[in-house]
Amino acid sequence: MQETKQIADAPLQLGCIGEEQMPYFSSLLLPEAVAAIERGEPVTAIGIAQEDVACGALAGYVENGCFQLISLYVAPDYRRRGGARLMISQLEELLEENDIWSVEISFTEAGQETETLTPFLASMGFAAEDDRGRNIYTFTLEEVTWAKAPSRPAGKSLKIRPFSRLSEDMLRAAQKRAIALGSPLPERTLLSEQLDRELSHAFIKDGRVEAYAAVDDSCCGVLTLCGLWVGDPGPTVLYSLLKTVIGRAAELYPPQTRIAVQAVNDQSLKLIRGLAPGARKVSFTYRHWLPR
Amino acid sequence: MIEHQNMDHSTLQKQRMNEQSIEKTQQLQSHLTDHKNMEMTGGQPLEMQTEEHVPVLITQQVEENEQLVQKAHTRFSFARAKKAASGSPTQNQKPARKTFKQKHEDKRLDLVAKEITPVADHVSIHMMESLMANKQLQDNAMDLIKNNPEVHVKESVDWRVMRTFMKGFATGKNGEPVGKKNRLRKQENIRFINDYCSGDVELRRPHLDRMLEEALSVNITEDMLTAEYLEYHAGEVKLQVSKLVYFHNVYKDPINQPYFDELSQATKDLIEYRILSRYAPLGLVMAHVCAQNAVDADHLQIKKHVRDKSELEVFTTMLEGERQLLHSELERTNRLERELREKTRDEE
Repeated sequence: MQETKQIADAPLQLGCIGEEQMPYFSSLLLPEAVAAIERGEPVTAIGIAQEDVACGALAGYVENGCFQLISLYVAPDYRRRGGARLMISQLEELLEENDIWSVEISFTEAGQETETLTPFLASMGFAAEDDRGRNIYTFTLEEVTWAKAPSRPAGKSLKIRPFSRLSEDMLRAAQKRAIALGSPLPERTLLSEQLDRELSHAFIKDGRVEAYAAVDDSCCGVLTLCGLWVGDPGPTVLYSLLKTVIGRAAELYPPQTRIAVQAVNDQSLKLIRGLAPGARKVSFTYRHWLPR
Repeated sequence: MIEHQNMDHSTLQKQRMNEQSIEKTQQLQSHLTDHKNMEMTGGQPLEMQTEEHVPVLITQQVEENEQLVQKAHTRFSFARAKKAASGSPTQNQKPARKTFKQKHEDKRLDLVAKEITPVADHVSIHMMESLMANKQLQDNAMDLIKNNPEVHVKESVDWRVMRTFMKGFATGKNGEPVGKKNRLRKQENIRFINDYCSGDVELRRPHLDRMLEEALSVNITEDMLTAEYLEYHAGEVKLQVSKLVYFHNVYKDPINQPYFDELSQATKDLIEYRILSRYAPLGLVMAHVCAQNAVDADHLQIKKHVRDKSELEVFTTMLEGERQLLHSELERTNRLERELREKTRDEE
């Protein structure tokens, strides 16, 4: 106990993380940060150690005048010692000296790990950003309601097919077109093996994919609508696509199964609210404007 | 040719190079003219601006970060550790953002837009691209009236109606429609022009049926009238709104009166609910959402005379009331339509 207290009282040492330090700090950084550093990208990485034990790290880069914090972590046994506070305050001093006046962090809830993050960020002067609804929401299959379907011309049935029945060429072309039309780049490509090809569906018109809903389990280990794009067809097709996907999920999974969906604009947010009014936001963006 | 025979070889070469240069300049001017109508550039074609700006923007970001890393190495010593504490952060999917390339493309277009007016941005450019693409398809159709010996215009008509209800088609370099579908559309347009411009309601009849069906099928929801949706779909939405607007002209045309008089009361009611009651509020909201983004959707140009964002705020204020009106009108007419359909079903 005495030894633990002594370790706890030992000062925290803060420093840069370079190539030589990576072997000790890489486990304290998110894989995307580690990969970026290993690729030689100019990522600013700062670490803390106590008694020669690497116990925390943060990493990020500047984009459009704002520092994007892509990784922030302190090992559980070293928390409540001011480590995260030290790293952030030193980072902010560095940024101020270089005329960078804000820091932003986006994250998705991950149980206990993120429960303490929000109050910590608030204590550091971070405020929740209005993502204009572009967040990840979760709801259960049993919470889904189909009350309001947009009207469509009578007699027109939509050709919606699971990915398992589509060619790779069609999916590849669809993804390319979606990105060209401004759709955010999804974490997975439509050809990824991690996609659930029975649950993921596409709307086909004139032999071409005009809309798709891709499903995997990437977010928090739950069924995740990891890619949703509707080009020209509009809200009617979007509704039918989602209904098909969720209907199929209801056939395969119990009612308490959670689904995660990202809203990418007002339309998709409205749709999520319409599908599951009790849907819960689980992704957040916080920003701290540094005083000038 | 006679001139060339009297010249020596080097002079001939120089002349040929000059001719090639003139040809290239003419091609560039033609390219500039195409884009000039979009009023998007300060004189440089978009493609030249792509080549200049994207690498610059990417390089700037890399340089900025490299400098920051260097400053961090100067400010802090390197962290010292001999082992790592146990525990690792959980990688959970974060909300997807636009790609680096998309964001830089947006940034490039912001610069292009601001050459026209400081209040425009990449959204304005995307809206214009969508509007112009749609215009081109309709221009191809309208060209038939001027340039085709198969077209016989007997009576003067409202050309806005013709433009809206003709089927747009894509053409190749030779000006001819590309592919079977576009060739078919061209033929259908020729038939449409000849029949509609005959002044004969009986010849117009099949076309009136089509125009009625198209106008009744227009389904613009409120969430399509947002900057986010219109950014990439302004052209299609404008065409849909135009169908409602100019169907009103078709409806009022005295030549067409016998056709409309013969329609069932249910169809006449549907026309009232889905077309005549909606075209004004839909058109107004769409125009003002575009105007908020410095785009004049009627004249297909960026509002270059607007120099300050405060000048666009008037549209924001107007839109609040206009959206409420549109919402009320859509609710009212949807309810009436539902009641009509139920009544019709009961009667059957």
